[in-house]
Amino acid sequence: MCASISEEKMLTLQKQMRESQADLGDFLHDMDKWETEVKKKDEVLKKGKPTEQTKLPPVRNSLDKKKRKKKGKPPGSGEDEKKRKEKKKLSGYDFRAWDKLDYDKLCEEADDEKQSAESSEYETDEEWEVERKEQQALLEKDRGNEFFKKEDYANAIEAYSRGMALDACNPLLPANRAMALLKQDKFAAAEADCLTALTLDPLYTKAHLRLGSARFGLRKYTQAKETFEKVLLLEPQNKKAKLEIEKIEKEILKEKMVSQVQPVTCPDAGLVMPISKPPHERSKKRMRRIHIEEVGLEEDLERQSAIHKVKEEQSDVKKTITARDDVMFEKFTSSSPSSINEQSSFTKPESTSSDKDNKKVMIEELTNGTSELSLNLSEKVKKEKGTSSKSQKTADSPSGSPRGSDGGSESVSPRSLQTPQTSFQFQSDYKSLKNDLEKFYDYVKAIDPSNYLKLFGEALDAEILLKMLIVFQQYFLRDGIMVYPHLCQLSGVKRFDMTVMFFSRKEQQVIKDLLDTVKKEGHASDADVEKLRKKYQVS
Amino acid sequence: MDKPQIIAHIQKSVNFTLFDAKWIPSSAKFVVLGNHARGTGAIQIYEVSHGDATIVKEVEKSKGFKCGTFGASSLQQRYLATGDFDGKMHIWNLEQPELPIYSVKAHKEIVNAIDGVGGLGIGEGAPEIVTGSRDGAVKVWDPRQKNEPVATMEPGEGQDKRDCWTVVFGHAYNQADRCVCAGYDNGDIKLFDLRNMQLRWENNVKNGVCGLEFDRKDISMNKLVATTLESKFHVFDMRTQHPTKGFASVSEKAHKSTVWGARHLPQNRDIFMTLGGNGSLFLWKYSYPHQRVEKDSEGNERGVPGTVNLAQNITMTTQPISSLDWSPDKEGLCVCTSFDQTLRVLVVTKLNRM
Repeated sequence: MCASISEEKMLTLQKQMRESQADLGDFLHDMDKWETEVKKKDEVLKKGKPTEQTKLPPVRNSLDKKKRKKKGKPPGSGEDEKKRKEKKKLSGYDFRAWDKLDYDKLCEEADDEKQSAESSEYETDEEWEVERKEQQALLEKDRGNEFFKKEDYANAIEAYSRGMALDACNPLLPANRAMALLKQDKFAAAEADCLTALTLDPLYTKAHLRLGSARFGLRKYTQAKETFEKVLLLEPQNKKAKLEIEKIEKEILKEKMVSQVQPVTCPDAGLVMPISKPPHERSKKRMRRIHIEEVGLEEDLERQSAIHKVKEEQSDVKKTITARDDVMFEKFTSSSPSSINEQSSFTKPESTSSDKDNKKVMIEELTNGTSELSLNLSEKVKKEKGTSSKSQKTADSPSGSPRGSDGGSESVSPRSLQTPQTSFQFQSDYKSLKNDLEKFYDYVKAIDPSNYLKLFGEALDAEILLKMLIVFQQYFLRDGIMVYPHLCQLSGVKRFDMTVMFFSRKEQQVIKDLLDTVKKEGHASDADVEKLRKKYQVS
Repeated sequence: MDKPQIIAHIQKSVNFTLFDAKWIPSSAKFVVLGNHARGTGAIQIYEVSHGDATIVKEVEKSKGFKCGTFGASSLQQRYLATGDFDGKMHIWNLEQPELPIYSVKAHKEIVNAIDGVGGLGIGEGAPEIVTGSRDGAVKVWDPRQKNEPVATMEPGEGQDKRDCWTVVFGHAYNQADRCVCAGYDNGDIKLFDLRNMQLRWENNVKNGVCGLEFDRKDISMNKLVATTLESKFHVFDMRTQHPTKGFASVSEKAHKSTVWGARHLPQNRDIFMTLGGNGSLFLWKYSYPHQRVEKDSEGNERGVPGTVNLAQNITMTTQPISSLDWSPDKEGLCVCTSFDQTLRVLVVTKLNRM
């Protein structure tokens, strides 16, 4: 039994093995056949021209839209079909009509129908392509915005440009590009972009705003104002527009002042340009004072101040040069004679006064050609020369005292603060001194009035000006120091008239008193005092 | 007695690490992808003839190749799309492989998986390629659109990025419908509906998902096999989606090791092979239940999972089987690669009698 079972098992196993062997053999035989077949097929495929591709659906993202479009179309074609059916519908009993029917023609018509359906699909494809491009343009816009946020304006502009190439009808793209251009101060390009954006969407407020800013940047003030006014028409509550209009009005005012002056100030001709040479190259001769007479200049106050403004703006660079030279010069003159041989001629025994002279002439020489300001200066120099030695003393003290020493002012307690050389220094010193008038007086006394210009720089603080005026009134007059040159110089500081304009009556009273005293003391001629009055805008 | 037999028909050793193998459609040739020890990428084309595989072409590229597919290419062109270690996706004309015909820096890191649909007459609609990468993103590409993916599925800002190990197309039964299914290292399976551009379903199978495959790409979703670490795989019935419970599934243990992937037989969608981390191959047959759909207490339809039966198994090597591809043209013929640097052409007999 056992043997027979195992035998049976053996037999079945053998049978199985044989079967699977046979199966495998069959399979391999099949495979050989398949191989040769498939290789032929492969060759055909390789050699065969790429068969006309069946119309592929468009690239994703527009898939859904196409669907919608298609749904939109059918109603129309359905109607057409209905009409055709009505026309062609034949009664089942109208055999004659059936006989006349041209089947071939009908078949052709059916084919045409199919084709027209296909072409209509193609139309939707095109529309769809447009929409896809619009989408991509939006993507570009987003990308541009990203760059803009990162303040990478060049890349942002590029992205917007790409977007504009894709979709020329989107007002957002040129408007955004304009913003990026504005950030780069490319106002003209920004203006052009804003105009494109506005032609696409005339009610686009942001584009109006940007157009305004661009025009403002281009100094087309009236146009800019008009633009912002348009914004206010669109959005009466737009704060930015209001602010901008105010700003522009101010600029227009300024412009007017300048333009009035302009005809007079076409200078250049006959002007001596400033020369700045390093000390060792300079002439070793003693400098001579040059008298400059004013010829043909009216004493129109407004004009004068306007000229100042313009000139100062123009000669900013030159001024910094002069200021630097000034400092350099002081350094040289105050240093010991032995240290610099070349300076020996400058620092002769009787020094201070002659140095002073030199310095004055230096300033004169350097600023000479650049501005009317220098006229003012030299005028002052003249006056100084003409007036008493007292004034000379006040003027001398700062340059005569080496920095950091207390030799300059014998009268008061040891000075903790140096004579200021820069506006920053002055500002910080002022902060620490403003509550102590006595000390501030000492401090101011040490300043050469001709340095005011440099010290106050761009803007004269109303508070500082008032403090100084009070100091003049209370202390200078008390100690009998000439106030007139100080007042005169102060009035020459940039934006002076603006500062004075905002003085209250009380403050104006201080000025009035001061000027009255000056007149009474006879430090200056009545005409000069009158001029100052005008400058200080007290009548 | 009609158990299918798995026979190693041809073996070839190569001098690089093999990651993927694919039959070139309508030919007796297959292509293998991998990377050399020096970091460069290798593409080799072999032709099967009379019991032997001869090398036809060999190309070396600068970066190692991880995966490839012919899925988005037409039968005439048969262009191979590949994903490389550098995160780039290329499409090659294997006749002129000097320069790629399409190249894009698809991901920041290695492209782990690639799949194509819309070509070869498989799946309707646009030809599209999907790539999944270690950088956590899944991107869908259209060879007609340069540089930009047509769809991107990636974790939002702040969400942690999971390594995407596998990605496949499915549900491409008409021009509009199409799904992408992605598996992640944390066991997440996400099903993205490309038509509605939304996440249709997600599930977590606890273990990292190494392989995913729909039984067919070009039909309304039927079955999905997900293979995972820890020697498990799941078969989801994708026909019926319950509003809360999702898709019903059956899970099975196999290989006593990581299950690297599953490949359905192109000629019979209920038969599939799983690839073991221990060098074994298991052949499975899925049997549907009597009723695939039942109603729950609230009247919602719920899928009923079927059962899987092991039909045959074989251990080829001691190293993991990295890939397997059934020949689309010859039933029972397949090629597999493993990390022992060997490619094998296998013959599975009697598949038609199962």
